[in-house]
Amino acid sequence: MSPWQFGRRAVAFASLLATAYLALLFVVVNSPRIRFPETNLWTNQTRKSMLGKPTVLMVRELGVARDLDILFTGSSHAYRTFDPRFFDTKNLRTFNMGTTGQTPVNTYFLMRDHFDQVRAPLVVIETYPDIFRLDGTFSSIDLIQNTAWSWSTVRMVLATKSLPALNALLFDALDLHRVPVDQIEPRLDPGDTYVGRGYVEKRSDVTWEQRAPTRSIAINHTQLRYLRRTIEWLRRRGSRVLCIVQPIPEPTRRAIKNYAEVSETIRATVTLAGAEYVDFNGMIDLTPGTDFYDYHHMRQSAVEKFLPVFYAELVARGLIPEPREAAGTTP
Amino acid sequence: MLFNSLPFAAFLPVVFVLYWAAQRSDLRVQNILILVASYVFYGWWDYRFLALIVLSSTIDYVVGRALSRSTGAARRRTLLSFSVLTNLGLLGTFKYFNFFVDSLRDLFVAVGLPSPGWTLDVVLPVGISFYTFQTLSYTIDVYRGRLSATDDPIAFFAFVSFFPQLVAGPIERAEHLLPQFLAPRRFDSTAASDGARQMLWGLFKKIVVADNLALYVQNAFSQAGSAGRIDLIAGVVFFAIQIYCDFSGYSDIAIGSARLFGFSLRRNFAYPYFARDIAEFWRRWHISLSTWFRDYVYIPLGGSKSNTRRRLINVMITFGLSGLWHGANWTFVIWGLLNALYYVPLMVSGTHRANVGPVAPGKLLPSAREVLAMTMTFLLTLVAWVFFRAASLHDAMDYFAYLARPTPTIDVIPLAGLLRGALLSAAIVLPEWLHREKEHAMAVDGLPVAGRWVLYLAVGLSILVLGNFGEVQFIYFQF
Repeated sequence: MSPWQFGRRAVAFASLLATAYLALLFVVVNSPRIRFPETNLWTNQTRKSMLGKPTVLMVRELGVARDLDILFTGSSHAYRTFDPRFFDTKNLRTFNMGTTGQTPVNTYFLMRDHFDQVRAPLVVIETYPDIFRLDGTFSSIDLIQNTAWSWSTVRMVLATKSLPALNALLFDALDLHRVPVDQIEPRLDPGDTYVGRGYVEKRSDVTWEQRAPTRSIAINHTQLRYLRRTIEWLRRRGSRVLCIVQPIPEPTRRAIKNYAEVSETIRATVTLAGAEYVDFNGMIDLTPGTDFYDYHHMRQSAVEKFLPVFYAELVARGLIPEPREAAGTTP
Repeated sequence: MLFNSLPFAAFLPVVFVLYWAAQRSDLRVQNILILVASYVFYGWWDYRFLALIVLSSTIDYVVGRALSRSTGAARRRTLLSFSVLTNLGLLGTFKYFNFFVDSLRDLFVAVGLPSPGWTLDVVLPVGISFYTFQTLSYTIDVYRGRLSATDDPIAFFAFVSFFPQLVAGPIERAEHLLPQFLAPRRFDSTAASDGARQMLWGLFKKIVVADNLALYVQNAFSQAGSAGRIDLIAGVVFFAIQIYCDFSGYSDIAIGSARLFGFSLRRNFAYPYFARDIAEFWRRWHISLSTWFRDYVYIPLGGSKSNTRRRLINVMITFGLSGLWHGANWTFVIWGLLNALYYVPLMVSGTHRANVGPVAPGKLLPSAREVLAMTMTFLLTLVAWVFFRAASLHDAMDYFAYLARPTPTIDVIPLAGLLRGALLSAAIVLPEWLHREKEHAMAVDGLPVAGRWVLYLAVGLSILVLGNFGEVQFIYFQF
């Protein structure tokens, strides 16, 4: 057998496998009684469990948001930190486009879909270093499930180069019983309240896992590339971009063995792309447990301590537009 | 680039087509292609560290050439020392600097001296332990006169960076792999088909078994203080299976993909959990590393030809260093020394070669005595694996303390997880037992064609359907 005959046989096998796989997916998606826990089929499981997460509410409001002063985006750190009520008191119109586990790959394609409509002169991207080890699978599943697909969604999935994300897309395409996005019933986590404009408040008595796993972060360089592309794309539209890291507990920072190096790499990328970077760790005293409901998310009380510091930094950097007469409450 | 990633799924066919299309050209074209592909493969992870491979390859190529021209013993020793110190220097800087500084700091604090504040903020380059040992073996063998230095830099650089085994082995010897770069390769469809099967099995081990068990292992070790005894036992048993499937899975993919390109790599695992004593376990586990330490550490120290006391010391040094090779942490050193302690009684009693060859050859089931021996050996490895997996010695001792006096508060591994873990373990142990006299568990060339294709499809579908495609690196990347 020549290498070419061998290659043809390999292609035949791959085609057969793909066909069998698609047929199986079709059966699985349309047979609600079949459950496949905690394996690759978690794509389907995760897809279902993520239906109705805050993203679905955020996207509905995002559709009517216009002429913002500040657009926030990033992972849950964004949508659990930038409380629009605080910015209302400063006469600033804000919207929070943060979504669960959102990575720069996801951010880029979300911007492509929505930014031209909301047009904020300042975009704040939360760049929690731990996000940079991810490939964007989890966020992609969330976005596939809770938003109406676009070509950007497909391009986003391809950019993640992730089989589960591709699976989620296939599952969704093959799902004969898919609920239209505007009819999805919201289902928030225990203790969560959707405040509006993308912001989610966690009830103050909720406490989750406080111990951060010790690890080194292996940066996924695709994320750095997309962070740079996002910043450059936004700058071409005349917006200024600020990348920040919100405070996290000191033990969590220590648990990331190469925190300093990762942080420096992100800073270098951001600076090179022409944006500003601020790591708020060390700029405000917060206490693990008291100020955080798990090992990296702030409680509302900490959010209220943090936002004035954040606002002062925006003022100091000259990033805030002229204050308005009346409080904006878009949408 | 990870073997279990979409980029590799695209990379491998492209390289395969280009490589065999270049067959009619000069052999150098094929070697250049391998070299470029290997650098792309490695650079995909972090292109900056390519400089280290190039530096290491250049030094050893030049030293090898210089050794072949030198006859003076002193000059030859100087050249060898230069190669060894440079390679180990790079490894020491990137992998061990902070470990030694931290250990020194702890020592200073313990004796009441002010601790030094040095630290080096570097990331461990993937595969540095593997290619450093591979390239070192070349200069040592040239120095010893066991191998002629090559004058083909492309072949040598391709040998050092050969992508299938670059980042996690098997650690090849120059005398085995380098000549394959110097001779024309022919496409052997039997070897390629078997290689493809071995890759499929390796992917199954990694993506389906290792990465799914990893979730339970992580729970057991990170929440040992809240776990019940069954969860703690399951945690370490699953880890034993996980690390075997993770690492031997990588080796299977590496060996299988090398065969697609007409190369033969050394076997790295030979069903280690069917070993009947620890000595046999070490002849079956990470064979390329064990034999490296045997040939370049244990034998030069005096090996088995010394007196008993000296042999004991040699064994302890060899296993201790082998442990340290795995990671810059005392947990790995203790893991190595513990294995040495298991090994010593066998060596002293002269029974360390009592068990060679397959278990129960030609039979379906082992004897009761063999079952007992395999179980005892497995239990010994489990104790050692706790040190290997724990984040610190303190955590390892805590794990044993919780095992003795558990304080269960939650189901760290739910019952369904225990059952699933047991099924995943069985999915590996049973096929491997049935094929224990063959190279790998997918060596099914005796089956009719239709049966083989059904089996391939079943394994392929299992990978796609049951596999955990999260962002899970191979454990041995960190070594």
